Amino acid sequence: MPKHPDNHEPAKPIDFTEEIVHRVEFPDGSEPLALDRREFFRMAGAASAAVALATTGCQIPTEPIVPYVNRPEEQRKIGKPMFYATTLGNIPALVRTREGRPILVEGNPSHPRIQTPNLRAQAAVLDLYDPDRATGPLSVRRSKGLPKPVGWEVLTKKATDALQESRGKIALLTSYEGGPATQDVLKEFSKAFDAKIFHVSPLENDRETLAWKSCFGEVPKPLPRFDKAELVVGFGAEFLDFPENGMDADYAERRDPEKRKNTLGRLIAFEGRLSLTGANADERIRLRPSHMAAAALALAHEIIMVRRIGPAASLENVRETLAPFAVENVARTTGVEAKTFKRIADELVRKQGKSVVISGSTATSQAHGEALETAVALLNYTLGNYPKTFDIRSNTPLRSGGVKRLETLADELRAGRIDVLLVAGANPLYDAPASLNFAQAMQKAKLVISFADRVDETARMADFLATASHPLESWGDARTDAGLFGVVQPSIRPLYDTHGWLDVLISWSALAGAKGPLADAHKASLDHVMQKALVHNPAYHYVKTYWSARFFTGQIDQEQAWRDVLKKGWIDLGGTRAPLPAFRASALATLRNYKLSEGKGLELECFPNHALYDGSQGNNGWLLEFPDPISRVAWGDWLAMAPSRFDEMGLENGDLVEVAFNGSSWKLPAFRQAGMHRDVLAAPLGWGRSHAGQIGSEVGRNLFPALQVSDGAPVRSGISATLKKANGNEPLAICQGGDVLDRVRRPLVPVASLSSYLADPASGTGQTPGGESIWPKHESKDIRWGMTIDLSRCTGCGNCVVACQAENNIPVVGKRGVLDGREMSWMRIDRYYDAPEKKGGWDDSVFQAPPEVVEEPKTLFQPMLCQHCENAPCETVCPFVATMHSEDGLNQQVYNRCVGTRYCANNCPFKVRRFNWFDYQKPRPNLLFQVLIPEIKRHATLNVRGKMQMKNNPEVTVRYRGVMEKCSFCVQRIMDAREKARREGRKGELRDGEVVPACMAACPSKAIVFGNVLDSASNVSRTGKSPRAMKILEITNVIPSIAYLTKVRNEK
Amino acid sequence: MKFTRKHHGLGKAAWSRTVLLALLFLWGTAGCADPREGYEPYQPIKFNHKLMAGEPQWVTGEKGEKTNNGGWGIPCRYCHTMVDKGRQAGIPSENICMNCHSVVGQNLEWVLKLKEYYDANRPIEWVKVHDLPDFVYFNHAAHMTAMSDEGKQKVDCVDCHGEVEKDELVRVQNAFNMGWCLDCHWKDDMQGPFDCIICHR
Repeated sequence: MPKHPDNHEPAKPIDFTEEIVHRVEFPDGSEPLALDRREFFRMAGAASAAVALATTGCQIPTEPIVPYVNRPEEQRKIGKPMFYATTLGNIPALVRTREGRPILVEGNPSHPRIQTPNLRAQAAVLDLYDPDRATGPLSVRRSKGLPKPVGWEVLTKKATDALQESRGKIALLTSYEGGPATQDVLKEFSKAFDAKIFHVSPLENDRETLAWKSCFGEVPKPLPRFDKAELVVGFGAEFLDFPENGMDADYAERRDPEKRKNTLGRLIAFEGRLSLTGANADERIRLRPSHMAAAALALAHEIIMVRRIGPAASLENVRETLAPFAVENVARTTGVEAKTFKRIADELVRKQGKSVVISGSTATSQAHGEALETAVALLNYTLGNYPKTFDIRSNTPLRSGGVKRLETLADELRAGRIDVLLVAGANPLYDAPASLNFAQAMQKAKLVISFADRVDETARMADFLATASHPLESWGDARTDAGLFGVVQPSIRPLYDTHGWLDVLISWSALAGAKGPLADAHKASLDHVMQKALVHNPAYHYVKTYWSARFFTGQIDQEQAWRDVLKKGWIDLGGTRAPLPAFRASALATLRNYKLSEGKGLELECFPNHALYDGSQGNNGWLLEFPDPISRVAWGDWLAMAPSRFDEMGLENGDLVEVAFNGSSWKLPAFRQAGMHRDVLAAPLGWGRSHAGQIGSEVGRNLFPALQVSDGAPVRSGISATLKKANGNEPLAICQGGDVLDRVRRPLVPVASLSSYLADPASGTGQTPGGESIWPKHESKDIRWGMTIDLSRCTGCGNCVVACQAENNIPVVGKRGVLDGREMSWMRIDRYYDAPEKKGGWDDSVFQAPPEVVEEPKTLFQPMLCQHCENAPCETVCPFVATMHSEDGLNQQVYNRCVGTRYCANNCPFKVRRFNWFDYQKPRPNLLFQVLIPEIKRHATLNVRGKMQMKNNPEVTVRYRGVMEKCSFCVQRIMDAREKARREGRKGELRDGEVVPACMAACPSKAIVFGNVLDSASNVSRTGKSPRAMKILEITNVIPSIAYLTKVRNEK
Repeated sequence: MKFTRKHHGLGKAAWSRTVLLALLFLWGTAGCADPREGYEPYQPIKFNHKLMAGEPQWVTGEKGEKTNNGGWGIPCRYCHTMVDKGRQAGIPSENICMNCHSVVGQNLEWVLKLKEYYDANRPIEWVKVHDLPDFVYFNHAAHMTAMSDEGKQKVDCVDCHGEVEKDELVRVQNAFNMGWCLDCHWKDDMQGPFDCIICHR
């Protein structure tokens, strides 16, 4: 009955003895709703479900199929990958593309030296689809106002005019090394416009080069071959952190105890901070960076002067030079025992011609780095290592003085001798020492054009951004080793309105009137565009012509030779093998300048971050989220401190501390890092990009500008610093809970010393047996997949982690996600510190990481992924049977069946199951949600903005919120192999090695072996039968499909 | 103070509402029983499978000239080239159509439309008819190359897609859900694999 709104009765006072009924009255006179709470919710729930189903659930979504208009010949096979050989930086790679999209960077197995890409080369595919790239040329106007789009025509006109007018006052600043053709373009460009070329690289190793030249003259510096070295002594060595030319693979080759037995490699590392190389060492001696040279010279004195070994003893002044570094003197100063030096000297003497002495680029970057490098060269020379454990053919180009060149350029700019500055690849406003004041010098140029792919720190101070294509979109060439060159070939047409920087440089030069090969390449490219080419590619024509003229001269069919090179990706012209000249006595002068002094105060070491390196790929979620192999910190920088000092200061991880050095002061989150020298602090470089993009900007701090230049090179190690506690805490995104492993209580990682291994090959694999199983056995017919991981070979580099992330569409969760323990990586490398045996055991106290364990840790790495257990504990608890066993031994995870109870993850003893707490890979345009839960917006930023989803592997489901996921042994690759076998009429018969999971393919040290364990001839059954093989947590009787092979430490 | 409840069941009015909602629910979910079967969408170009792949019917006219009243009998694999090689059978690219239509039937309405697309270098956005959920990785090649012990092909196109050449428009003629897949997989003469990861990964 309708009532007038004004006429309604006043509300009765509520009688609490009666049932409480919510009365909702409406002012328009509608009848009041008389419902209790439960009923209301019951109806509301049913109604919303009905509406949801009726409106969305049952409509057939119309999906278009869009075939090609004109299918290109190479895309004949729809749904099959195509591979293109290219070179990223100096890493040869095969780029896997699907339907024309690069989705994975894989190693080039045909390459003689480098078969696997490193982290940054693998992550390059994410950079390609980076939504923060500039989509076309911009007028940046030195950051006065927002950048405005500008057409290529306008920019080309401006640039060519400037090139013509400013002849002789042009400079090109670049960090690209490039191959012979690239170098030739620069030479021709310089010739045509009287331009100056400035090569810079923020992490280049000046002092190493200078020392080498003073020791041996202008001869190429050979690279060590670790597969030939039975003993390696490193002084701040970093050859496993940043391996060059396949060093990691070589090293692993020496660490195979079955093959090497008594001649197993041995690594002794002197270092101040715990590096990845040091973590792999069999013996590690903590030393201040400033004492590094003294330690090397102590060994030199002991071997040359005391034992009179090698030709160096007859050098002029050698006695006077080395005399201050007698073992006793150095021992007294450095605190390392004299007998340690003597023992290492003994070992080196025994392994003459079978050893390598090596330093690292961070250690040699200190003020007296030249002395360290000279001492290292002297030791190798004395021990006769040079032709034997060093590859005379392999060498790095002798380059140095990058900062000096930058200084020169700044001076020229200030003096007004440079009008036009072109910047390609270099980013001095991010990574140059602030003392150069390059930003101010850059202002003096009349026209600055940057060839960056975004408005980065340097480009924002330029006039124009001539947006450069990604290396996966452009042509070029590269140098991998002496006489070993690679082509840079695009695997996709530019996504945006961009051109390769080399293309632009050639075009502009030609249009500005350059003659010769530059003009020829430009013309050839234009002709080609007139015929059929879709992209103006002068660099392609330049490289092809240059290579044809130089490298294919003897070939009858040069076109075919070029095509073969494109297919293979590299060319080996053979290096020269000139013998090394004798050590120059004059080089000893460097050593006389170095004075042994007591270590005073704290020393800071700024080392390149393992994943980010120089920070040039700073907007890459995979690299930013990659946990550092040692500290396990992701998404930010940290200050590593020795546990004793850390505890004394009463710090917690992430507490801010103030480090003052070089006249500046920095607040950094402290991290209790095992294995640090008490007086050494270490902080990573490569963080703190201010204009990288939405993902990588303002993550951590940039320490590059704080570095000081001494003798024309930046000092990154042995920087005197002071430390005090600051207020505040910056949570560190640490990807691992426990640090220390008490192997007596928890024998999770098989480890043995060489002597015990030789006595009993099964030593270190002891497990408590699990007894009878109540579960029936799974029957497999022909195939059961299994894996072995050789911990002796594994160096913990983490290539497998990024490979897995790329192959399996694993999302990036951001810092918040890692802090909440929600990282999604299916594969991780656990880093443990081995607790020494203690009478009575450690009990749980070991989890507090007592200083006596972590001061001098023995580091263990264990790649951890789904173990595909025979009696999988996850399978028995899933109420929805969403995870179960397959006939071929896989523990399958069915996303569409999973409802997300997370029972399985809780029951997994290996903690390898990952739960999708959010729709990480779904664009969330809903503003309300973005405001309510900011994380949601961040996830979309990290994973699905712009063209990012183009990186996804179409063979793997993109998981949605609320489902569990985990390693599938790359089941898509298994299925692919099965399909192939069936097509070839091999029903269910797979050849060994046909299925290679992404982690195995990316492992440089060949530690991972995958295959069919029921095939007795397969590689994996051979390795699985090794006495070193151990399946972990035997006591739980889960019976994993993955066996770990003992890490054999060559301890003395 | 005491809280009591007078009744615990639903009131009379609530009952009627619940029944109404239940009916609404059933109506809403009715389509879910089999959402795919019978789906027969229109396409941007009226491609006629009956004409292309149907049996030819030659009729001799009064003057002895022969005309075809049926289809042209083009085998499925002429267009769907990847059916025995990969996961997707493949929708033909326009250049495959133009193999014939640059010569044949040039003045027909839909061929003109096709030519329009082709000349403009514009792809045709066909409507997907047989659309499996994204978490299903069906493999055409695995089915086409599955051989029985006698060496005979176990499955042919017709077994799932029906006699496409008999209709002008393509219609989903089977359930295309998991139960239907497995019905076939566990037949004695088929013995298809059963593991989840065969399709879900």
